Amino acid sequence: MATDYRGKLAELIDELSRLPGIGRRSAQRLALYLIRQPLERVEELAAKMVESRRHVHPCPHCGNLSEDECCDICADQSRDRSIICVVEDAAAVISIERSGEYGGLYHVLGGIISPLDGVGPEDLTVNELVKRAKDVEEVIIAVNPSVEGDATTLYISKLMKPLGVKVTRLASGLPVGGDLEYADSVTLARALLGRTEV
Amino acid sequence: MSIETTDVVILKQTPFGETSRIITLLSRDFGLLRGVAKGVRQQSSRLARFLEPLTEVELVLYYYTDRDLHLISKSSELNPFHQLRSNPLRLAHSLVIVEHVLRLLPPEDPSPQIYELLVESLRLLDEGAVNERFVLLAFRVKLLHLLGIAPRLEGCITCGKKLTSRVNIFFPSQGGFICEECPPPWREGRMTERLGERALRVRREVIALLNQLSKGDIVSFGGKTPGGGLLSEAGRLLGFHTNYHLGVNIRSERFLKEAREAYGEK
Ligand SMILES: [Zn+2]
Ligand SMILES: [Zn+2]
Repeated sequence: MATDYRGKLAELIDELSRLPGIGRRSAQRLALYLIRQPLERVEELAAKMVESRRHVHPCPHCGNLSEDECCDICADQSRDRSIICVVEDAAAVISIERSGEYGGLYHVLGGIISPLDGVGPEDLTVNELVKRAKDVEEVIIAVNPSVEGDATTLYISKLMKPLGVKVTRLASGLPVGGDLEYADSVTLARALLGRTEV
Repeated sequence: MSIETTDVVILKQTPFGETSRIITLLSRDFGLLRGVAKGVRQQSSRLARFLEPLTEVELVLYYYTDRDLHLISKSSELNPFHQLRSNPLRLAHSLVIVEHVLRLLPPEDPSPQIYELLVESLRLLDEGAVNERFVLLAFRVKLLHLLGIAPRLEGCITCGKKLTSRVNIFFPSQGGFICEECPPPWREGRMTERLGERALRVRREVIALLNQLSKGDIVSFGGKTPGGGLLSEAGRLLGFHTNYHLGVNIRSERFLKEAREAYGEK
């Protein structure tokens, strides 16, 4: 346990264990690894952290992360400006970009509506989305299929209604290679709702 | 450790480690508990399919008497309650109900009646035949009764006389009403001058409604839903009471309010 560690090392473990997804045990492992590294290597790591924090910021248009005035995607004139894909965080932008199937703009919500945790639309960039949506034809809501994802989708689609924007959500449900016979009914219902014309 | 099969309602999921989740659930036989579902964040997981919040499932559980975290090994579907997730008002109301269970119930203290109340309330919201606000109000009254922490509605808590005035005064600190003829729970001044934050004026019809709800079943009211004003006032009394005695503020009520506003309901 951490009570065995003292002074600087204990402080480092404390600090690391505050990082998301890092428990006490992982923090100890990381700290012990770091102190065994050459000093230059650790200085470089520390400098990288400071530099990223200093230079990377959310794009003022879409909330995606960027080092420039606005992000690569918003700056790219070849992208379709009539469509916005709404995502939870910047990591989702990377995932969708990797699919290579999307050529429009993004909107990063900075979280997801999570009623049980008291996270509501006010805590996210929902108002900014409403402003942007006035100038587009379609808004795709690309959040995880979960209760929080459903709450977010239903809420946003309601706000979009009076704007006359087409609102779609990602089809979700049957995993590739899955067997229809073994699908549960929540998954099947979602897959039916998200069915596409062939 | 014992291997148990039990009906449960899934209440909440939180990520655990790289691939697992902790599932908080209400079990008919074991009460409110938490279990680990291993590997359910991987696409290939079979277990993941039947651990969706707001569904009723049958679980096989490795139950450890000496721990507060159990292991979920199998799950099969009982009631998926699809419509709860397709309508924001139904979703918001169900989440407020779920949060009451999460925050008011003591852990691992089974109550089959509370279990039935939860399933019945979710079923009513899913079917959509009864007004959502009414289902929520009935759920709250019944839950407080089953937990033994309901406000006293039968008469003045000091003299026991029936509450016959058009408007009566509820004191959260006393857990009930005090009639106009009895002294207020503070010394100086007349009762009505010093109400402020410490008491609530409640119409006679609201008391009658809460009394009826605590006894009857929800469905028998289905046809004749009381007006919105009565429902809000009754809800405020319960909120005031719960907050005072348990120090609990229900967070999801904020989303409920936002959903109502977005859908043009007050
Ligand atoms: Zn951008
Ligand atoms: Zn009295």
